[in-house]
Amino acid sequence: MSYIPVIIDGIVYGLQLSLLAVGITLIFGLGEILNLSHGEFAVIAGVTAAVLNGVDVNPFISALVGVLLAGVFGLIIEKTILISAYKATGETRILSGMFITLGLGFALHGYMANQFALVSYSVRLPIDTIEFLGMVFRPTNLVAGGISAITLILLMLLLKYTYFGKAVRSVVQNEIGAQLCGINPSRIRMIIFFIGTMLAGLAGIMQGLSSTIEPEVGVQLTIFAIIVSIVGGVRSVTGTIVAGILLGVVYSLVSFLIGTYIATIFFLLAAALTIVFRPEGLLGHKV
Amino acid sequence: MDKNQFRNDTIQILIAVVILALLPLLFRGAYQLRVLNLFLLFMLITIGFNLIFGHTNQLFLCQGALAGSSMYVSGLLALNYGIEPWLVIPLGTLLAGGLAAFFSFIAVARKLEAIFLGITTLSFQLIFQNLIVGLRDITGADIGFIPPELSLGPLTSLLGRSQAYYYLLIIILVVTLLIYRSVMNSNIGLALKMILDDEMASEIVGVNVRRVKITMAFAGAMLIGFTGALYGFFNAYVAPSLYEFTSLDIIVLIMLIFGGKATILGPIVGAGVFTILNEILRPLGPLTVLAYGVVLMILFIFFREGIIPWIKNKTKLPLI
Amino acid sequence: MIRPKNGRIILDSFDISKYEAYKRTELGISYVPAERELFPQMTVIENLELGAFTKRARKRKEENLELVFRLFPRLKERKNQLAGTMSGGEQQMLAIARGMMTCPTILMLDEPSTGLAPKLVAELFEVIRKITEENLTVLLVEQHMTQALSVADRGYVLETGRITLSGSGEELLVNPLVKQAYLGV
Repeated sequence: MSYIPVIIDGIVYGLQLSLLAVGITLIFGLGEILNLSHGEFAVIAGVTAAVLNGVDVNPFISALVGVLLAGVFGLIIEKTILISAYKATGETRILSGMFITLGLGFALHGYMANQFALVSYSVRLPIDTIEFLGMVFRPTNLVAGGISAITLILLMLLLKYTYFGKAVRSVVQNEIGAQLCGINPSRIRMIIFFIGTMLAGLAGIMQGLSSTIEPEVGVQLTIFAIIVSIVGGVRSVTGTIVAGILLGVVYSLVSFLIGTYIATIFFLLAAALTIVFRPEGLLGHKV
Repeated sequence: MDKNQFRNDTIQILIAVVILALLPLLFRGAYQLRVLNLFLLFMLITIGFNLIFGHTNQLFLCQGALAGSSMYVSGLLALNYGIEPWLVIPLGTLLAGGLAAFFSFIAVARKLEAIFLGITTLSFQLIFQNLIVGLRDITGADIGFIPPELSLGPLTSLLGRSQAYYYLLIIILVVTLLIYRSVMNSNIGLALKMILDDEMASEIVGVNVRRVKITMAFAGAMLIGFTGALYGFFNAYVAPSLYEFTSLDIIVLIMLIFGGKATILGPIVGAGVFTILNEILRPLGPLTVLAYGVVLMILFIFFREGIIPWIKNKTKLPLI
Repeated sequence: MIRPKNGRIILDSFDISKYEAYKRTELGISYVPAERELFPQMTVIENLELGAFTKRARKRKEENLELVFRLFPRLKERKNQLAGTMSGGEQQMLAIARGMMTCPTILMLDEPSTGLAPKLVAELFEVIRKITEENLTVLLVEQHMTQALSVADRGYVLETGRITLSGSGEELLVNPLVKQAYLGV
């Protein structure tokens, strides 16, 4: 029975990773930019929300400010330093995008680690723990999981049924075809970068809600998110979400049974093995 | 092949090596000599990385793990079993070469795009870092271990430890550059140029792209592994922080991009500039990472081609 | 997109040479390339809906959908099939239908018969003839001269990028130069 809380923790963690990773998947699918600074957006939002929450700002408003800050910052990045990458094509674009965002990631990491060194931040709700069927749950964990799950469902509905969502999928599948339909791919890319970085921000806040977020954790978040995206198939949002939950649960179980470092190694191996043996990801190519 | 080209190469390599060999006469302090050694060590690793990424476009993001696994294997064997270090360094070197050849083989066999090879090798880098910390009993985790002293023969008594290492590294550099030059002027060099130009086309005209890529990965990683081991022995103290992504890979990457991919002088100039910069930035603490991040962004936004190709274009000098 | 080296593209007295492809679609030029450029992992209906993406086209989505389903009854039957799993002929029909969904004032078809079996080519030209009856200007580039000219009001013969001959479809069909050079008669 003691596994159930561990699995629930894993699902909540997995949902947070999915929130991060869908941004990576969408941004890469649309513009071939692998955002290696993605985790830093989670840190920016998480730390902002926690700091505001720490000076008695309502947790909801703190979270909103954090998410918006991450999104607006993402927009600025997309419209400034990424332009030179978008101008290139093929492999040059992929490599430039990768290295520019890697540089950005390091810059943000250095700044955050210096500015907010060695502190764990958290967002708190007024309730502590609840008991159900003799098991103790932390409501913050469940709230974090619930918000993440609802957001992901909304995202999938948005992509599946709205005109905007169809336009996003059309650009991923065939950019020329999208243009012929009157869709402006740069505009779609910009909006998705905004949404993607906001989702990353939300993931950071959810981590601050369910446990704590440290300013140094951005690099690890980026790497885990990329792994989830790769295991999910790089261009598939559904695959990314499934992979996130699956890897989250396995990570949580392995951490609990053996130790964190083996769990991390397992995570990394999952990415390498997926790339080598099933490059199309868990569910195959689908957007 | 081309006689003028051959002479041009030799002159430039000679000038570079003479300048490097004279540096310890100018900078004699213990700290300065240490920086000079780091300069050569990083230069050699960058040359190795250039063979892999610069010449064959294989994006390896595990230079630290290759250098580190070579050092940990040779250093720990020497320490725990009392084996002469010079006998185990070749083992570490071969291990690094073998690992890289394996990754390269997978990449060509599965036709991985650069980005996916990058992620696979980055995963390996991080697995390495986690293993070193996880295998606490063997590796000493973050505390690390002190490897036995590497004997440099009469050089040490003649010049002192730091200078002895420096001139040993110079010798390795000269040998590397001479081999490098002859390879570049051979049929393999021609094949490499064609692969960089257009991989598909070179395959059609009969270049064995697969074999060239794997061989270059093997050779480059051997150099990285060998230098990585010397780095550990020179440092006289081995800890994971020497071989981490942030402390090795990223710097080597910046050195190569700044200097110029697929050039001989590029890694030398790149390593020089960023070794100095690294020393200037060191007092900044965590902000060093910020500075490197900004440098990497600026390089890729404004200066993708690198300094040697840039000077070459501006001045029409036949730089190599 | 290839930008013109010289010359200009004028539509309704606007110079649109420097416009990006999506802007031209917004302005009412619908281009259906020989490569079709469909969205292979979306259904037929989704492809068509995306054709009506622009604000202008979205307003008339329902009636346009009715129109293309009337012209291409096969597409209506296959509404929920993924575009990538359809035959070449069906994909060509879908591409033209999607082009019509953009509510164009001019529909440009680039070699629509590429890779189609002769029977399908005949079917295709029949549909193109019907489209022209819908009060829509069609600009057709084709190798199949006879069939293209028989549905065309005006024909232009291009040689190495210059118009060397022009006239009504019927005129050109009987023009000895055309006959000799293209129809091999």
